[in-house]
Amino acid sequence: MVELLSLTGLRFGWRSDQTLLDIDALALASGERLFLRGPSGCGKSTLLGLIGGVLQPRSGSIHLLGQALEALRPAARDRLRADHIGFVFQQFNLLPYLDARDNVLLPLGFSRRRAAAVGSDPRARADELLRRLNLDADALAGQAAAELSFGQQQRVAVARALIGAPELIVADEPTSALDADNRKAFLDLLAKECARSGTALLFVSHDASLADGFDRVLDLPALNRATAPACC
Amino acid sequence: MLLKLARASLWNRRGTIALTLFTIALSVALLLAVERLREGARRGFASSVSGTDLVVGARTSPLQLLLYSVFHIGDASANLRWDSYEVIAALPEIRFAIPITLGDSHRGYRVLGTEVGYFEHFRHGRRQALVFAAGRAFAGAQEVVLGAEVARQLRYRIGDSLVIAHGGGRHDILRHDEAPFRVVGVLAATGTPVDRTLHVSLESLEAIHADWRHGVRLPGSANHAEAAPRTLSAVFLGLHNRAAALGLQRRINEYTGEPLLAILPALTLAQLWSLTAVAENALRLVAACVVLAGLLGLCGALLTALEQRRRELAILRALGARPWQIAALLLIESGAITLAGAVAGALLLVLTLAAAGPWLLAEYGVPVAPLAFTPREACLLALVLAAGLAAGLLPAWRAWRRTLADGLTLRT
Repeated sequence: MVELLSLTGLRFGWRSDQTLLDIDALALASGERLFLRGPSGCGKSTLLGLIGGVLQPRSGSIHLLGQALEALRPAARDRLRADHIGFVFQQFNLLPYLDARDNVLLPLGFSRRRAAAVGSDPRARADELLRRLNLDADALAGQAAAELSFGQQQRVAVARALIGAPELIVADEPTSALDADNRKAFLDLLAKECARSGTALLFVSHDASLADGFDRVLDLPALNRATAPACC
Repeated sequence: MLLKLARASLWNRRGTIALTLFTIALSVALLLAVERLREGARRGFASSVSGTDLVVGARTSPLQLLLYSVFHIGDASANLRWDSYEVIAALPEIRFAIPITLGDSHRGYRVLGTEVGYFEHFRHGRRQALVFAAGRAFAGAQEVVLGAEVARQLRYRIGDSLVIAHGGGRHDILRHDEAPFRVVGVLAATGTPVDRTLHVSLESLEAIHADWRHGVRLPGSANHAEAAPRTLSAVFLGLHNRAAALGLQRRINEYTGEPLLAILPALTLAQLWSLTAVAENALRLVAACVVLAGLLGLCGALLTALEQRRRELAILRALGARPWQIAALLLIESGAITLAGAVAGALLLVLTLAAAGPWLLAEYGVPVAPLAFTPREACLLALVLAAGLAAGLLPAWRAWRRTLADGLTLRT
């Protein structure tokens, strides 16, 4: 399998006298679905910030599609993130004043590569993605995202992450506010859409019961050699 | 993309944005109104004496002479003698000499005693002659020619009769009931004090005052149809050659028959403007401060909203937005609010002036054209826009810093 993402000797802390993350090695292959478990406060969101290129490691290396993020200028890191990563967060995923379709189209405004991948009719592509996620774009047109149900918002967020076929989707506790039935349905939908587009999935959650169906499961506290008081 | 986002975001916050926009619109309208009224007042004053080279009166301050003779503001502290006028009018440099006498009024409007030559030689605006909207100039005793506003406001028509009163003021107390005047002409509107003036012959005015002493009519006196004038309030002079004005001014000021003063209206007007410049600048400063307060309000509104929009900005960062794009979004928003506020302010000014313009002209003789935006006003609007963008710099900078600190999730 082709390596998509790799972390080597990664160390990070918000202050110089403190280390929050100390990870010897972590890798994700193209198309792989990896479940990364970790309780609140153990540095999951910080790790995603590092993978997204928004934060810089104190030492070590992060490679995405063969490019060392730490060697890139901030603008190039932003471009790499826009071109190759789709994010789904725990909540507040969408711009509340845009409707579902405009939220899905949003990443295309920041990534030429993804805009080119979508082709000449991005609206049709956004509508198709929403339809596959059981949402009717026309019925939701003009309706602010803030007025959608939480489940609908999460599906719109998945469609937004998938548009333009990024190589990696990072999902940060996306099911924590869903009930058990919807959680299962959402996970199935997410896995199915990633498999359909060949997109790798890095799923981060504190809930180990969601790990079924992933290619691989890792425990962040076990990976992280740093001592984190709030963790474990 | 950023424009679309800014538009949607502003629309989402339209309640608070509308208040900010309204504040800016009001302040811009005030700023432009001060400028427009200042220009209007200057234009109105300047257009009142466009064809007169010198104004002569009894020795007083140049400003007082100009104000009472041309603008009918205040009264003459002394009059010049008729024989002095005859000496001056006979000088070879003189093309025309218009004697005037002020002092009486009719229902708040000034009465001007003059000669028929007034209607021929007096110029206003861009050297425009007086035009009769109806009737003719006075030809005999007890005939009056009305300014446009007097006729319109008091609804006088040709043939109507009216009585003038001794002295000024809005209420006619000492009326010359014994000598009513008949309206024989109405002048077309000029946008100058002429519109607010009743014109009668010097002889008629002298006659109705023949039996008055110290503001009171002597009992048992008889009516006089006409009487030769003995004194005048001022004389308007037109010269064959304007270059001779300075020399003639000096000679009149050195006249030995009685103490006289000759002024060049344009120079004295400039003197007036230099006196009023302090007040004008104070008004401008106040208006500029109001605009500044509006823009600070904008800055405050953006900063307050920034705290509530941290999640929104973090989402944009996750989608690949660069920090400068986040800052640009804030600048676009501040620019758009200021632009909309400036346009709304200009529109407010146009509507206000369209409604109040006739009243301003009638009441104060200040001509204002609602749509006549000057390059100076355009510069002011550009400055307001630049200041509006500057007001967005602090929120933009803070957004830029915050997106770097927050990353993809919020750190509090």
